[in-house]
Amino acid sequence: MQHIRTLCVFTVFAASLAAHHGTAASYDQTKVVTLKGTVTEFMWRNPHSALFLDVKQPSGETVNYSIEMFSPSLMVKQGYTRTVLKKGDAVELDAHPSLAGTTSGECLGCRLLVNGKDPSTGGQGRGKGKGKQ
Amino acid sequence: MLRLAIAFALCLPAFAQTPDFSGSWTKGGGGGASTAKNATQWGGEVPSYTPEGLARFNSNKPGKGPRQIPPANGNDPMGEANPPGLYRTLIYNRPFEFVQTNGKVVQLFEWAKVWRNIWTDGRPVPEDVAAGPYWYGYSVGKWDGDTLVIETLSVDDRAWMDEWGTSFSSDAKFTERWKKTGADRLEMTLTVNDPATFTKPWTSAPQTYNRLKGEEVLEMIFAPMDEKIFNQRIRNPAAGK
Repeated sequence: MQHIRTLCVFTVFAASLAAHHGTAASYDQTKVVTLKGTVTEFMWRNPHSALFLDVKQPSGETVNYSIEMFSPSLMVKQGYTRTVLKKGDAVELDAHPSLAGTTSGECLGCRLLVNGKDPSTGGQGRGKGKGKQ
Repeated sequence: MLRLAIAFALCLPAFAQTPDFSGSWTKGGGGGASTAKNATQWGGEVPSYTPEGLARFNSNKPGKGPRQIPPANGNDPMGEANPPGLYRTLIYNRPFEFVQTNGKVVQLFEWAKVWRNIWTDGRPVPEDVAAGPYWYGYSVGKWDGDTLVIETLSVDDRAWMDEWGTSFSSDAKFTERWKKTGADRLEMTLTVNDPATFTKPWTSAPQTYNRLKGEEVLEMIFAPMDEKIFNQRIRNPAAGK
């Protein structure tokens, strides 16, 4: 939790949520954490994609964060591709942190910059918005 | 002339148009808003459980709904990529396709990429299904005017009826009533007759399904190997485990 507290910007985020199998029970939907780091791995999988990134702490220590993301079919609707996130890419994202205070978060349609650019197209339909999974 | 009129009248049923449900559909509204502890994701009246039914319901620890806990601390069968089963599939917002043929209506589900036969060839609803129970049950349908009435039995009770952990017994009898409420909208109401679980037949709120336009039914398979990795690297850490 200390890592997240020192790194993150908390914002009240009034999200209505009918999330993926228990997403609302695992992540704090009232908080948003901004993480900046380097991609170590991206899993493009059903029913959940997952992003892992190294985030440098103020102490100089590097901590690996795990981020739950939408399924490929929903990410495609939002304009993402399976190659959008590659090892070594610089990423910045807003995630809901885990309620347990671990270095985990959820980014279901959240703000995500890859090497400074937003790869999403704001796709409509099935993938639109949060909690549609 | 009278004979002709009588003959025409007798033949009318043969020319009656069966509603056409063909096409791809995705879940719209209906149900899911209640915060009552024993409520179902299907909406409708909060079920009145028998002691046996309540014990089974309480033993289910879902990651969603009024009783939600972090999935890593629950026992959702889907957490290990078991089949969702028929009714959980019908309440979840993943598309499916209806295909109507002579003798059966088929549902092709994106979730788990499975199909379901609904026999409309006039066969009776069996008393039992020798090889059952099945995760997707055994279904016989008949047209009642504009409504497709489906009777289903022999559903494997290890499946949950929804994501909120609603339970049923393997002796449960399910009745779905599907009808079109617009060119691009279907409505379905589910009734469950399961004396082992509910003190009286329970009926859901009407569920709506909208025509899926400009998209195809895709594939959504929960592969055990993926779910295992997800549990180890995402779901468990998120719960501090």
